[in-house]
Amino acid sequence: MDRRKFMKNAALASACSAAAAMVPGVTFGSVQEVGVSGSGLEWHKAPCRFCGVGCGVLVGVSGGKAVAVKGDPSSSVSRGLGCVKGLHSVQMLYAKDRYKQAYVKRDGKMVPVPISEALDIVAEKMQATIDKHGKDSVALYGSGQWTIPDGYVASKFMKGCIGSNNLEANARLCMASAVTGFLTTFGADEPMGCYDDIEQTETFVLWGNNMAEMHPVLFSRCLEQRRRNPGRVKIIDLATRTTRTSRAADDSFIFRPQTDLAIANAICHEIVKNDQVNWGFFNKHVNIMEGKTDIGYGLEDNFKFKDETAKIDMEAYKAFLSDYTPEKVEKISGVSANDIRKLAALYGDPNRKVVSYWCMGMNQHSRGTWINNLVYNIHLLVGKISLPGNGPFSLTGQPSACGTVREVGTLTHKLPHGVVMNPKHRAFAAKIWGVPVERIPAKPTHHTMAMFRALDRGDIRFIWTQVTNPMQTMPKLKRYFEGSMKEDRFIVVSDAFPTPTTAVADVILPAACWIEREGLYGNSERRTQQFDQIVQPPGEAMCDTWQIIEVARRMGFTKEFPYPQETYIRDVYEEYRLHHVGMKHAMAPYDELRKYPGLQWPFVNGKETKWRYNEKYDPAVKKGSGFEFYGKKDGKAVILARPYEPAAEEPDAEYPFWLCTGRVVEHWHTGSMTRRIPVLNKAMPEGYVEINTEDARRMGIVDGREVRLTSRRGTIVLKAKVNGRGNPPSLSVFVPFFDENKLINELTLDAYCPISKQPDYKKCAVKVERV
Amino acid sequence: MSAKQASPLTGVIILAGFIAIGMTVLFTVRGKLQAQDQEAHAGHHPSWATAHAASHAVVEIVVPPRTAQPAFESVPRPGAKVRTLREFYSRRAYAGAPPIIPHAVEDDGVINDDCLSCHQDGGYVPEYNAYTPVTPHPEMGNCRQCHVEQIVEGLFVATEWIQPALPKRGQQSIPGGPLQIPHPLQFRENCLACHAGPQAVVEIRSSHPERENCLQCHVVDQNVPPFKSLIDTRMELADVEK
Ligand code: SF4
Repeated sequence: MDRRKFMKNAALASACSAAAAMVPGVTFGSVQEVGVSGSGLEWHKAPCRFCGVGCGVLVGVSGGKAVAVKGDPSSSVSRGLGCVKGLHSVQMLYAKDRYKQAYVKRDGKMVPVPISEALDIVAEKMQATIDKHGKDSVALYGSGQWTIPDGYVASKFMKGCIGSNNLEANARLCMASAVTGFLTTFGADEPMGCYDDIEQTETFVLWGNNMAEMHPVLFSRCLEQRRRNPGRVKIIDLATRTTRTSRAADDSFIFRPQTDLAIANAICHEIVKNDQVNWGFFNKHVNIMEGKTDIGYGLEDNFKFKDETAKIDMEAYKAFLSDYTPEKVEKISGVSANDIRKLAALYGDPNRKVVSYWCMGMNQHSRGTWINNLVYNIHLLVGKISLPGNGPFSLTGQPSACGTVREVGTLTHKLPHGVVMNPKHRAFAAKIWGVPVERIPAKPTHHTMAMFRALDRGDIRFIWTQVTNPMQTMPKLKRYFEGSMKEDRFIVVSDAFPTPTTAVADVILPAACWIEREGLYGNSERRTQQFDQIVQPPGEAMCDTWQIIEVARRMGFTKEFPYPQETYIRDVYEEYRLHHVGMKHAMAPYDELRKYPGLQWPFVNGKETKWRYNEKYDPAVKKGSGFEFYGKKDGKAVILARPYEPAAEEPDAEYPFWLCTGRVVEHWHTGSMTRRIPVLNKAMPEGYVEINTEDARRMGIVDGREVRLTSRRGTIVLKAKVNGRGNPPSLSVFVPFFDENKLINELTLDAYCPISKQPDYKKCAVKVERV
Repeated sequence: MSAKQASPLTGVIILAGFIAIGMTVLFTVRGKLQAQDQEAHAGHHPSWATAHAASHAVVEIVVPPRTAQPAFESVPRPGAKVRTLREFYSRRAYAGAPPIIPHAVEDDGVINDDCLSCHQDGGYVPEYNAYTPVTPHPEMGNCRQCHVEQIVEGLFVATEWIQPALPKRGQQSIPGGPLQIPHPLQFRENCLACHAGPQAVVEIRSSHPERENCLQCHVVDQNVPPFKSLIDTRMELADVEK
């Protein structure tokens, strides 16, 4: 018996001893939130700064400093829990290298200046660039960590005042495929279900999602659900490497990268073949369509793609699925035909509730929109959607990727309500903004990848980034790094800490971080979460919303930005809310949001909508229809027949390994915050490469030894991790991207999904050598 | 703004739920509890424990048969290392933060079985000549989401973070009265995990663990702040250092 088995058995043997709580009768929810006055600790609510789960935390303040964090017991998301990042988050605010003042590059050196002077320079330079090169030579690049007011004023400033659609956000790199997936299938963005599904479901199917590390608090809720329903509740892991999640799952199926497309189709094949289609639901609420195939990878500059879809019937769909029998897909994916049938049976069983969860595995995918569509297909065939405990659910990585980027619409083609291409939507936005409608250009300009390519080429000369770190996160980093360093480019960076992006800046604006300002985030489940300013920002650090307002006013847009400093967050949010009136997207009023850890939209008549498109829960659904996918004109969701197509770059004789990049539980994204938290840095000090145990043995690589990875774009030396928390299958490696000294994105490829324009960070080819 | 408080009604329901659980634990060996009102709890989840009681019709509580002896030996064997408050706080960023894992662990674990095989019941470990600390929340499944190993000493950049004051010990509302609990009970409902048995922290070990129903006498201090102000942080820390 190996050690692991032994420990498990030992644990089982003792499982019937010791009750969990020896002292019952305690309700901590009500005893500890006392209004503490005077010299003691005061607790204030806030959403966690880090991931898209959006845990509610209570921040303990003493002597004007944030000194402690605990999970907020009244948060319906986290119910008092947190993860190691959230529970230590306040420590980052006091890192010694916080930016407390603005810096401007003079004679090649960054010199400190008063922030008002830096804002003058930003406004002047932006205006001068527009005068010389036109409106579309300036750009604003934000983030899924932008609060809702940050994103809203950015959109109003760029689209409504300057009159350029050069507005993007890093959520393009993380959630764009989820958005286009939702839009193509349902005609409206964001999940129909919510986290309450967890306590209602019987099956969790995790598509390429290491939830134990990436969405730990939600995963705890999944484990809890299984613990309370032994034998019934199953966690199924579908992944390209073995992770902590795989080990916790009841079943783990490891597939070849990119072949999730084939697996999803094989599941549909089996459901149709075994006649497990929910015909009652299907006939009333679903259309079938096909789109273009062989759609390319966006590798070349000025790549263009437009999908065209057309209706097909069930017979045509069956013919399409005939390429995806379990036996055929076993050959493509490496998952056995039996296992595929097992999976299909879980989805197909009419007496079993199923949720599907995914995040970057499906979104950072050169067929990201397709794989999102394909998982929806499964749920639509069996009618397991928009029901408590049943449904597909796209998880987000950033605290406000939904709230800000997707809902406010800080993307080149978007407006807070609708898209720039639609004249009615432009008129609607212009009216609320109080600007002439002609100012809002009707044509989208650059999505993120194209924006940085334009910067490299010189079509964009001025770029201002806020709350993001593109010089660490862009794929094929070297090109974009060199582009930003070119003559006659002006880079403004708003951040709290030095990063690889501030290293290329001409102006650095010190940012107030998280609870140093007032704001709102929106998490994965359509929940808007407000927080007050809890502590003072250091030095001259300034809220991102206010930075934009200050620059806009300096450029003459005082009428458009009239908000007084005392109430501007509330004022901006209340103005934003006007864009979402109506039962399909109404947002909770600001004063309500202050009272609760968070509230979900659509917020109609003082009530949250937990399951959209279902008449029972969603007041926007036509009475008597049962379900209505009202994003589509005919109220029907669409099954899209999307084929399997290979990745942009696959391993070959010269570069025989797959490279997948991602995160670890200790660090959040580029680590600019979490590495400044002592506990987290000590737990995970540097980037590393996970190598398959057998490969390592064959190549004579031992744990901790340095190895060199090389792709067609770059090379890097990392310490090997063998038999660590993850074990990739043979001929594949995994590297986390948090380490700014080990920039793995110098190796990744800038291939993207032609529909969503989201790059694929999960697949490219490398070779591995001992150093 | 301070955090939203649980409504009084919810509080009553929760309290009733807990008393029911308490009675079950105290008076029966194996009991079943029917949660009364599922709907009343929808949307309010003040704790995991309540959430279980609320959203789940049947809660099964299994309690081992009681022997005359309490579940723990009360004093460590002679010569064994005792856990001190200093050590206790050295593993936490601040009082109430999740402690780090101070020993080597396999990196691949997630499920609590591995950790619980030692940390559920505790016991003497010859390797360390010490007693394993017992977790106050063995029901939480994903240990490594909060508890991490520390594999290096250094920082990425220096920090100006100030550790907040530590809970003040020895507070009584009247002379001779029972000690008040100076910390929140969130995820620490099991007092005996830290306050009783040979693995208990020596400075805060209870003299009467066999009484078991701690909260009949000891209450969370609602008037005095759970933590002292920042001013005397260092003093208290220095105190612990000694
Ligand atoms: S990082 Fe995510 S899981 Fe962890 S506490 Fe924050 S929101 Fe919750």
